[in-house]
Amino acid sequence: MDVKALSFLGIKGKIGLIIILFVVFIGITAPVISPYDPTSLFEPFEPPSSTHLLGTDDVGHDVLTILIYGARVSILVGFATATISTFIGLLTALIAGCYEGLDPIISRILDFFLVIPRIPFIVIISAFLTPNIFIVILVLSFFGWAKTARVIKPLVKQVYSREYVKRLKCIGAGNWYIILRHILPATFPLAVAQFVLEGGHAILAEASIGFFGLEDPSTLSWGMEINHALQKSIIFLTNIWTWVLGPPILMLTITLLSTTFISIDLETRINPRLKVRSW
Amino acid sequence: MMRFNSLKTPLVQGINLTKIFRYGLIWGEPVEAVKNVNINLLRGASLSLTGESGSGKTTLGKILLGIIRPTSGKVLFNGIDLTNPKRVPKYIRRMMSYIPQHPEEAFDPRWRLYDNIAEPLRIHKLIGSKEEEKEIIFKLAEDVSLDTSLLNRRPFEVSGGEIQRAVIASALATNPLFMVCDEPTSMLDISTQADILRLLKNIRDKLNISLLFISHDIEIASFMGFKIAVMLKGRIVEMADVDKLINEPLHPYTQGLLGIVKVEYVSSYAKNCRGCPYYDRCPVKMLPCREKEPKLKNVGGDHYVACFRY
Amino acid sequence: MSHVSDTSKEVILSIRDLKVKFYTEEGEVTVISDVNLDLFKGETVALIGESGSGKSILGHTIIRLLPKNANVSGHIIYKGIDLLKIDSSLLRNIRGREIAWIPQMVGSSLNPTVKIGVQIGEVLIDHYNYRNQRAWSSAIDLLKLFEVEPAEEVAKGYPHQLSGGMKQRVLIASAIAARPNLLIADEPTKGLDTIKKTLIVNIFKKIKDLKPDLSILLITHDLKFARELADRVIVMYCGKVIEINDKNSFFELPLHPYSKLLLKSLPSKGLYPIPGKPANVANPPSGCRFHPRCPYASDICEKSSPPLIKLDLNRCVACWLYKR
Repeated sequence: MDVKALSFLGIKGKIGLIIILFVVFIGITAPVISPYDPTSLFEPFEPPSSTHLLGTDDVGHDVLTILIYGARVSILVGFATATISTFIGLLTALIAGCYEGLDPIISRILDFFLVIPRIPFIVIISAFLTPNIFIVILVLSFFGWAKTARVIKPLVKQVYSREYVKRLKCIGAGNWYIILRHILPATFPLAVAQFVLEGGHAILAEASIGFFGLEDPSTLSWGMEINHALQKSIIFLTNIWTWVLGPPILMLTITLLSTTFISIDLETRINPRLKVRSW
Repeated sequence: MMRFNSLKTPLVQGINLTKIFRYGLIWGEPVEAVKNVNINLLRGASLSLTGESGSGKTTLGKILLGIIRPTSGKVLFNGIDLTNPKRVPKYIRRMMSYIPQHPEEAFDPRWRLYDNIAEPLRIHKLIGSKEEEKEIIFKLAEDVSLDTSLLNRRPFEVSGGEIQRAVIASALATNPLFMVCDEPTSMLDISTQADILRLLKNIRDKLNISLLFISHDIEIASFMGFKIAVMLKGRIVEMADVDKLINEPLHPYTQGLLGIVKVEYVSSYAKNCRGCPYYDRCPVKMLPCREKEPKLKNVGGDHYVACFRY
Repeated sequence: MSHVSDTSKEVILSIRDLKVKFYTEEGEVTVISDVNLDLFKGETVALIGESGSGKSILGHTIIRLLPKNANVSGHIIYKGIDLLKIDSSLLRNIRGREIAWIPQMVGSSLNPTVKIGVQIGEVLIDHYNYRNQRAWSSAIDLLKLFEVEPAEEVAKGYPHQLSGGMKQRVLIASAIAARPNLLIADEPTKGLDTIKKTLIVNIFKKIKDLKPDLSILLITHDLKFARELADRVIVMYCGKVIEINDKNSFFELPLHPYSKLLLKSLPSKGLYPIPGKPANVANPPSGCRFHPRCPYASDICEKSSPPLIKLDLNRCVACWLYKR
């Protein structure tokens, strides 16, 4: 049924999934499909032509190449952050939901993590060390898991208070048996929705970090590309911005939109499917 | 396998059980869900608990199963203490089962009926092979007259009566000695209710199971039990054999439930009262009822009642 | 067409050839077929049937609350207006003001963030342009009438502060606040204990005293409850009306074999179950839908479906045993 819930995506979710898969595909096959090496330099600010399909940027990088390699970074950050934070968040939610005694303590910890704004925190961190991509992932996951836990915890509690769990306890099932066999599968669709949403947030956060210019300058990401473009105010005086600024913003928007589509679609599908319909 | 005491000593024994719930974090008002209840259930005997909703029937049932820990008092199952749910040995759990009120809540909605029924067997590792399991499950389904073609469906794809049959099958899987049924038919249609109740009765007689049957309908309670205990605000106010209780009810509350005397519904009464729990509604109340709580006492022939008039 | 028609009483609602189909993943399911009914002014009718008999859907159809995948054909005529054909603005004027609905799920039918008094009074503001003050005081009057005390305090409170029985009474109060002519109650006693049921019975009696010409349609499977309140009983089985009868004659001498067996399955009559399994609307049996379980079934029952036969002024039954 859980797998079914995924294959049961509505039209919105399907569109989102296709876009995401497309971005993942270009990220993975970047060295093969990109027209140039990401380090090779050309004339700066060349308009789109047959040699440079999307033109070149201020330093002379081919915009299309940067765009393709940028997908790599975004997908890596999104996927890794989502995996780590969903895993920790889910585990926390299961423990808090099933062990009543621990719930108040865990809730306070979650509150603490939820009020820390993550972007300013990264600004502070980057003052001490140059944040390469792995530090970005770690910091984003460090602040991302609490939200996942917060969203999943009520569902865990709700399922844990169902009569069938009481029946199982009476039969003699252990707590971890119940959690693994009954509660985890019940939270699975919501966890997937959270995973996708968290991935989207991480991609946006990473882009913001790049946009502020706080990332390792050698990183080729969409955020960095926007940052570079904006540093030259000349681009707004001409139509250069249409090919230097437009494509990375468009890619970012499309990717975020698709993750949002998928998670909304999943969430609207989770709840009614759990209910028993009776007239 | 443990040895069983003779038929005369009770299989399940609740001694001075009290459960106080506190709602709210720190300043929660304590609510006595069960108060000073003594209850004995012999092997193969069956007792019905009745009373309006909120009288503590379900809480008492769960305490006797060892799912809820009582605030004070003791639960003995064949001499073994169940008071701390976490310390109950696993093999004891095999000997008891629980049938909850809402059939659609009793099973994991993601699992097929087959897996749900087989779960107790799997938890206790009572079966060797898949074939053996299948044989047992089909036999169980037959025992509760559940169509075997339904076993592949999920709980929300079958009717309430059919799930309830499957729940009973699952409850019987481990050959329990003690079974608690918490209003198993209050959500079912009338004709299905008759069906399920007869099934439970047959099973009880055939397998010699001690049954604690919880129902707010005193007619159904009297159909299922040998004895009936009437509960009010967590206390047992009257307990007797079925015929005696139905024909000569002594407590005014029991008379009210049977429709002999009109009972008025009081929506907000004091949760913890000093005197008789029935004081604010009793048509025949006397002076001492307000100050002192009557004790449950034997008025002859195993008929217990907690009322100052006797 | 056979249906009850009594010229001495005023018909408030008449249902003609009603058919409700659902389009589901498995295909088309006819949940209600060929229902013809009349409800009279001032009477209480109990619509009895097991789950899956279509009784709740009939109620939902009258107030037009069916989900989108439902296809309804036929006529439901209320005061000369066909409820199935009117547009949503007219429907809004009828809902609440003319026909009120008491939903089944007590717990989820009140808005947890709105004060009780507002939830009862809002229908008056909406339909009769009452001032807030006046709506509030009418709400308190209703609460007092139903003995939800202390009424002023309760009206200022929120649903989570109420017990189940109080919520039920608040729901009934908000349904009759606009003084409708027809009240439809969907399983008002489901899952309640004996004492609370008595309370609900008393409330319905009070409503009746308040407005004697109010018609009530009780959708229920609780026969005891129906016996306390109803003037007439309508029995549905597998999407069809199989018996219409006076209350007294129904409980003493039911006509349809299903009704006879149903009464025998009551706790007070010895709890004898009806043999066989309830018929499924998705795959109904041929002919009379009760024939596989019927002890009196003969060949004709298997082959063709019996029409609703009118025995006398108030009694109808759909069974071949009565076709002589």
